[in-house]
Amino acid sequence: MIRDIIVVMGFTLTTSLVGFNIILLYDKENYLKAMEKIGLSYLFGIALISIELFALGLMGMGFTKQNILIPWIPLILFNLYRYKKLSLASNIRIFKRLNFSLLEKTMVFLIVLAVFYAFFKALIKPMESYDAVAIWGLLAKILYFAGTLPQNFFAKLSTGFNGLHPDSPLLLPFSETWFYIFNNGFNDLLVKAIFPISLTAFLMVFYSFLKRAISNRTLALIFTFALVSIKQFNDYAANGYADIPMAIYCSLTFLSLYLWVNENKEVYFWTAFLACISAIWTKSEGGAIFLTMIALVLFYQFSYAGKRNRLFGRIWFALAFMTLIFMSWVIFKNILGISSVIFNDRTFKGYNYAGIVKRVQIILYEYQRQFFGLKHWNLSWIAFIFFIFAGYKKIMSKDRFYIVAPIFIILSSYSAIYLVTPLDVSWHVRTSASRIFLHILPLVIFYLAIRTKEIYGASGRDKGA
Amino acid sequence: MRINAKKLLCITLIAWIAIWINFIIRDMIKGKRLEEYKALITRDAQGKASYTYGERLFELLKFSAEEMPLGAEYELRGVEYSSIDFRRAVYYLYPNMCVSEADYILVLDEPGYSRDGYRIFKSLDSGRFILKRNI
Repeated sequence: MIRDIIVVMGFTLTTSLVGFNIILLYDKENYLKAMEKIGLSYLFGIALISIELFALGLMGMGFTKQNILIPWIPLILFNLYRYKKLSLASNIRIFKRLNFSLLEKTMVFLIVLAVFYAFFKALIKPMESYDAVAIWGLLAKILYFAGTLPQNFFAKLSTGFNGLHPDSPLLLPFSETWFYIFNNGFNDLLVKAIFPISLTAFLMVFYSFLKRAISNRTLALIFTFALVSIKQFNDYAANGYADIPMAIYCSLTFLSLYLWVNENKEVYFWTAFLACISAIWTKSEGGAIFLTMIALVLFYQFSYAGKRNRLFGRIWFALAFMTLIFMSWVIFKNILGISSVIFNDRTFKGYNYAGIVKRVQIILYEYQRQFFGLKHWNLSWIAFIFFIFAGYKKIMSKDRFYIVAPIFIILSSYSAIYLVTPLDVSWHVRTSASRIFLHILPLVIFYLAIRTKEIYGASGRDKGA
Repeated sequence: MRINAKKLLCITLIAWIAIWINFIIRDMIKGKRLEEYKALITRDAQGKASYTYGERLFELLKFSAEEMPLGAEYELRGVEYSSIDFRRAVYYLYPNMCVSEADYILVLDEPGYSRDGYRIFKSLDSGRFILKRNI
């Protein structure tokens, strides 16, 4: 038990150290708050180590702690040299005297309770839920026991394992593999700690971003609680699926983009950039996140940004780099002949165009079932629909558009998949809609918070944290 | 307007918490989560896996993993293809691979099952056993 706690803490700190040093590269002004830095450090750390493992595997190198950690040492030394004048205390300013009201204390207590419950649910059972054992956990087991990327790995996945989705990006399997390597052994019970740790890290960032956006600590705490208490969100943060990591990176991308647009701080652009790359590496739906981000950045430049704020070299470079990463993955899969179960050369062969209306009916029926399903979503979707109708006139304003637009674009692109899926559409939408809604749920809650703040006006108390 | 907004926020928050608590309690009692947690909390890792997978399936998987040579290929009988039990079995038994026409057949709850060219290799009980291809 004590060993397990030490392993989980050591894993979290080591992973965060990598992410923290990446953040130091672009947060030169030390603009990010401690909560943001701590949360992002873990979330980017695990994503980057996962990408690193893939690169090591492609080079035929073994998955060992040394091989994984040594490449980061020059970066850590560089940052130590660069920031030698900054003390750790000035870099991580977290422990301020906080003067919480009773409501705020209650919210903090409930958030902690919900997070503990997620940890409890994760660690009470080994990997057992469907996709966790059929896809993500199995991939991690294959990679860990192989000790590197096995020869003909993707070909074997296509032929040797039914239902393994060989076209899926590999953030989660490599994250789990990294945990097994750190643990010096396979342990599919303890590895599940990575899910609630990601949830905790994300909640820190979510709260902090929200507080920046609405300048109201009480509301930020209320809406952070709202997010973590949504049953579907909390359950999936414990069951080994890739949908919460996807929700995290998808939301981070657009929340950072929102802050970049509204606060005009480049540090958020780079946060969005890293989050988007992580999303591409998490699930195939990352492609939609990538395209949406590109579209929104370009839209911002050509609509809202003044001439002085037009894209400059570094940001063009970042967009080009993201495109390169995305296309590399697409081309890599094409070269290996890996095709998607949904998008392949058979998708439109014999497609029944007359059946579109029927498909739309099926999709809408399932969507409304989800929207009004209090058990899984509490009041979140109902409140969102209400606020959309109540405030549609101002939807194009800068402080709403960059939250609402990604919600609608992503939802539309997912819906388009249901329109063309070669699988039985009823089965497909019934078994996946409740999970894909998770990807945009934090954006929905964020939007509710912004709108509530607008209505609530200046009567809410603003406090620094 | 400001007071109304505040009231509305308060009512929504209370409703939100009430819905949250209601479904947690329902899940615990009606959904039998509490019963499940009580059974799981005192068990070790193997015990948790056994409870979660179902004891009969887990015993067969553990037995098969011990008795089959590492990397051997097997076929599953008595477990519906693509079901959650099937997925758990494939996951648990890796690096042994599930293929058709394998050297080993793992039989779950099909007493008397036999196939030409195979003999009983190891038995856990009358309904759970491993068949091996005759060489």
